[in-house]
Amino acid sequence: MSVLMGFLRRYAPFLAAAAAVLMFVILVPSRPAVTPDSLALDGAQSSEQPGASIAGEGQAGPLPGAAASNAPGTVANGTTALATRGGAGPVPQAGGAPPPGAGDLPCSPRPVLAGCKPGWAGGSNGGATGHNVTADRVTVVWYVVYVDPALRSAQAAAGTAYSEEEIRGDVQALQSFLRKNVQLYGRKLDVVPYFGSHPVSDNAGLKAEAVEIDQKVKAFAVTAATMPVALSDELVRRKVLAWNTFQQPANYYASKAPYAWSVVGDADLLNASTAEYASKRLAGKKAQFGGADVQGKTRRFGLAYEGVISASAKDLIARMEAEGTPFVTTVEFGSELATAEQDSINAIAQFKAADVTTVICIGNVFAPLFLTKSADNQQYYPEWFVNAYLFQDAEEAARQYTPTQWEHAFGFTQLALRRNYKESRGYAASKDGDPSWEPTAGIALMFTSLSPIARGIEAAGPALQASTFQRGLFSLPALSGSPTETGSSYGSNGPGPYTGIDDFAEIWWNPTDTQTFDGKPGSYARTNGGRRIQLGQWPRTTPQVFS
Amino acid sequence: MRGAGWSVTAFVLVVLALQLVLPGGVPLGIIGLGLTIGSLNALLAVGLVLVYRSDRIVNFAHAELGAVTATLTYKLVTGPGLNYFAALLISLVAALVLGALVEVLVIRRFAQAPRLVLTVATIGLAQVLAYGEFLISKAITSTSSADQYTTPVSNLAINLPPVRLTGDFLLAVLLLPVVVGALALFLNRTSYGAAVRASSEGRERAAQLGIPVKAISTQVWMIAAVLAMLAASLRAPVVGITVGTALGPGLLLQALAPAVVGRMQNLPVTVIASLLLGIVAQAVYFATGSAAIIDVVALAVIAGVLLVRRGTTSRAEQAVTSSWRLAEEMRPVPAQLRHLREIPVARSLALVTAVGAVTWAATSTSDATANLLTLVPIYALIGLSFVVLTGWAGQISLGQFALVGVGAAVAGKLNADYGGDFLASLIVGSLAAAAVALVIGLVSLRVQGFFLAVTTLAFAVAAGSWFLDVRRSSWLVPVGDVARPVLLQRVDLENERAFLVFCTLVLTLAAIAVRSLRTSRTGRVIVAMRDNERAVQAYGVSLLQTRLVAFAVSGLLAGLAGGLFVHHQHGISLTSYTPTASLSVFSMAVIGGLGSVSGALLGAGFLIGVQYFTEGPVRLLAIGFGQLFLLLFLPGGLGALLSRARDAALRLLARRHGIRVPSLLRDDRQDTQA
Repeated sequence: MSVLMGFLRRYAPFLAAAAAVLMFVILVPSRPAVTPDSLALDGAQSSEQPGASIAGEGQAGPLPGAAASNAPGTVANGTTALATRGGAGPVPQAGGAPPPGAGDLPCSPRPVLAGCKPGWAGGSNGGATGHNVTADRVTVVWYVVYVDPALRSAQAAAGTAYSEEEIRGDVQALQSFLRKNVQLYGRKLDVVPYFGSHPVSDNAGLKAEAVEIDQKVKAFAVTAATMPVALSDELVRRKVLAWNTFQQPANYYASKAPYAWSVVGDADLLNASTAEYASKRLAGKKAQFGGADVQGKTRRFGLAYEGVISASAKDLIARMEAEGTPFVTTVEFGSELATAEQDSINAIAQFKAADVTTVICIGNVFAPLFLTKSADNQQYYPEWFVNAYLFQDAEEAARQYTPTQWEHAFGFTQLALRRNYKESRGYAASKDGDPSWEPTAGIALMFTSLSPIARGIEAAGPALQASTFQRGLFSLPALSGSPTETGSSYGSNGPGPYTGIDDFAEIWWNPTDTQTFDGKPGSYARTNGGRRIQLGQWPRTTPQVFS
Repeated sequence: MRGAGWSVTAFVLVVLALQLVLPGGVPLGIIGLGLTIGSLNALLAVGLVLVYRSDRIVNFAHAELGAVTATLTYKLVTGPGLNYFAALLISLVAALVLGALVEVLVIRRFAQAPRLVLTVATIGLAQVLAYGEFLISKAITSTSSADQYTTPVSNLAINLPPVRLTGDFLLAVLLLPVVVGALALFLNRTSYGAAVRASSEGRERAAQLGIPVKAISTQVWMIAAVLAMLAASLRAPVVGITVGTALGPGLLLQALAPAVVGRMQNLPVTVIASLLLGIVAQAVYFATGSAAIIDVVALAVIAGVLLVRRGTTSRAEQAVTSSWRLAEEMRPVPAQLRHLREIPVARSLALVTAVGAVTWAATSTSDATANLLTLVPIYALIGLSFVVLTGWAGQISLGQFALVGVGAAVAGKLNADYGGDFLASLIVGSLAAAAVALVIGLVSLRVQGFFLAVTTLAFAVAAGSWFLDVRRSSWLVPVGDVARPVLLQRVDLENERAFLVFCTLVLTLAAIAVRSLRTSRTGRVIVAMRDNERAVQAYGVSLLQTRLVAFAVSGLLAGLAGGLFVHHQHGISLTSYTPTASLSVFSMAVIGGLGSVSGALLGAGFLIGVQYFTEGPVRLLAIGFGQLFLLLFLPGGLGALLSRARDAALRLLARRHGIRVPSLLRDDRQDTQA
């Protein structure tokens, strides 16, 4: 008894505090307030339900990765279709009616952008119809990712680093173009550059930037050359449309619908295409594009993947197995550069030991840099299969890879044939918007990123909000691809409802070609003149690469 | 000879074990690769040991010290096209100069500072050196790319399937015994070597014997810089070189693990351990295809070796352990002054200022700023956990952010995946972190000071790449969105300002609790244990219980910070709980000062301020040079500055009232003498 009393005497304050906390916890309701409209302002699914489809909207499209139903060439130019619909268009999937006031007046032709500018009789546009939308303004942010001094120096050497003034000038010119050529239903479109000040690894910093973009800049949508995932996640939570979180699994976009979007295809699409290409064109045949050490051997596939994207890697592994072309070995590598460099020797040894003839590498843009160097050291010259992951199909990256290795690289890309930027639609749009401004080479990418948002805003009609944006974008016809233009679609028109580009071109690396968009040696050559190919349409014939 | 016999036996046993355990066995080429990587790591490890023996610190700048000169080698070869060996010679001279400069300009300035402070200074030094690499890279333009960086021996090769060991691999393996042998001869057969050894055994005693310890220390750093240069220069053609990127803790750990096995003393054991660890790591990676497992292997090796070895009982080792301690506590206001009217007025003023600052932050700042400012109380909680663990108990943790991660994972999991109550999830998360901290506390019974620091760093590395990775630990890490609640059905914590106020309230409560704990019997016993374990035991106090209490309280605070952090971030991101974050918060705690609650707050303010409210060159200066300068002039941290300012004010007050306060006068005399 005395022991108990002693204990109580000594610890009474602590016990009292613990009891107080316990009472507080019991009595104070503090569960996250999940209400039907807590996130889904526009009737969209909450991002708290990963993997959820957009069934709530009644618009679930075909499963990502499934064969596309739209054949190329269905709509060569959306002018007619849009003209009859007046931009907003009926939404067959959602069953919504055309927005009031839209579609009554003739559609006027416009340069560069697909379709024509729908007429609008004027009147009320509904005012603040959506998050960060007001009666007279809608803001779209062009987010510029922060790069550290070392990388910036490398970018400057490659001629891809632009000053703030240059970026502002490009943004201004495109803003003028879009204001002139997109029906905004009485609102003014502000395109605002936002210069990130935190590296992509700084999640807390990126999330704070998302808060600022939402609360201070009042953005309706944000796009970037590539948007960091942490930034996208927080924007989506805040009901701001986040564009260009690259090549995430399809369920990433579906679970964040209708807020997460991307111009390029999702990881599931790339994986499905990889599996199809491999099974139809490569599997069971002798390796013929590698070095002497693998030449003539029956193809065996190996996968090197960065740990942080293992979900995509697992999906690819499963799809390859389903196609009857399993990987004989898979190797994971880390994201820390110094250790990833070290790991690459062992990774190559694993491929050699498993008699891998064809290597697929998915991960950051540096991964092939290390792997090709190690492979060269090891005098191992496999076929390198390029499957459009994270800029490996961009010349700027490929030129950094060991040439004696990358001359065995082939596969597919989602990029269109790259011309000099002065021949691009972005350049034309910029000149249309502000003839006095001489844009940078980055204008092409900026325009490609901004144009689907502008089209979506237009197609949403006067009552602009995330759900009408989705409905509008889904209602637009698919744009067919050509060698110099990518085919793209949203909604049920293509494989990924929330991602745009849905076709591919077959490529191979030509280290000596100088007829490139920037006049520098080394470019991805294209078979069949760069013909675009849809998922499900890869032929069974041997690839005509390196010819 | 006996050592060589044991080494060969160990090699044979390890290789045999790997052949038996790993599916498919281990090809000879992988063993060769392991030997090469192990040799490169051994060169780093030997340098780490030398510096440890000289200065009793983990030199976090060691790899960067080599990377700077390796960048010079690489640039001289690929830029002006200098002969590789000529470039190596120039880099060797540069390494000698750099080592001397670092010792004279930085290390020597911290001669009297606690080892903790010097360790944190090397973290800042690593940043400065990384910037140096960048400058060299910018100054000398390469005409060929990194993959064309070959050496005169690159074309020689032995084919040991599935690895082709080029001349560069072989050079690394062959040079290791030459370098270590030469070092051993230098240390054992020359008078300089004898002086180095004497100095490392006890600086003050060596100085009394007439040994020029400062010059000896400079020489040690020069040797260490050359070893680091050799490691990095030999590494470049084998593995590659990434210019301007600080070599991460993952790589450092691969060199630290064998150094720990050699007890930071025995060079031959360090080298053998490095080679064996290299083989094991490469073999396991080859067999499993998973790189992250190497980090877990390193943790297992470090923890295993430290746990099975005999306890540290020697006086020399105890001296080392105590030199890692740092506690410049803020003393209470002297009793003679407490009754003065100015004291409560000043206290009220401080309180009003604090409340005013929070009110201003909660009402006048933008949402984005409020969001970032919320990190200050969260990080201050982590700082408090250091105050308890390091400031009071004298225990070092370089893995505190991993504990934050545990708290975050558990609290987030309960909230997001099980719909748990917010406050309850915070408590459970804190308890989970406290439980993990208790396990570390048990380890600390056998391992202390530097070795505990390395063990916790290994824990941080393994936790970041394995345990807190949702792909491997989906049972622990939340998958869904971690939403903030609406408190009392009216305070929506999704509002950034409301969450800032809430976190500040939690910090305030935690600070009051910590302060109360310090003045309680438990707090006094923890501090007494730090100062003299044997004396405390003589009073019948259980060392085990006391130390575990310190670890548990520290873990509880870190876990609480984690619970708040995961709600602040709305989830767990893969890159949030890296060992680099652990090193950052460790630096933060030392910069703030480990002796007081206000130090924790100031440290958090400094870290968040530098990281999020500065840009470009200012940020770079603040992180690297700023950290160094701050530690140089304020080894007790910002908290000590506050403490001194307060004492100065108290002295003035005492003089004005004509009150004699011995403790303050003593300080005054010391200041005058200085």
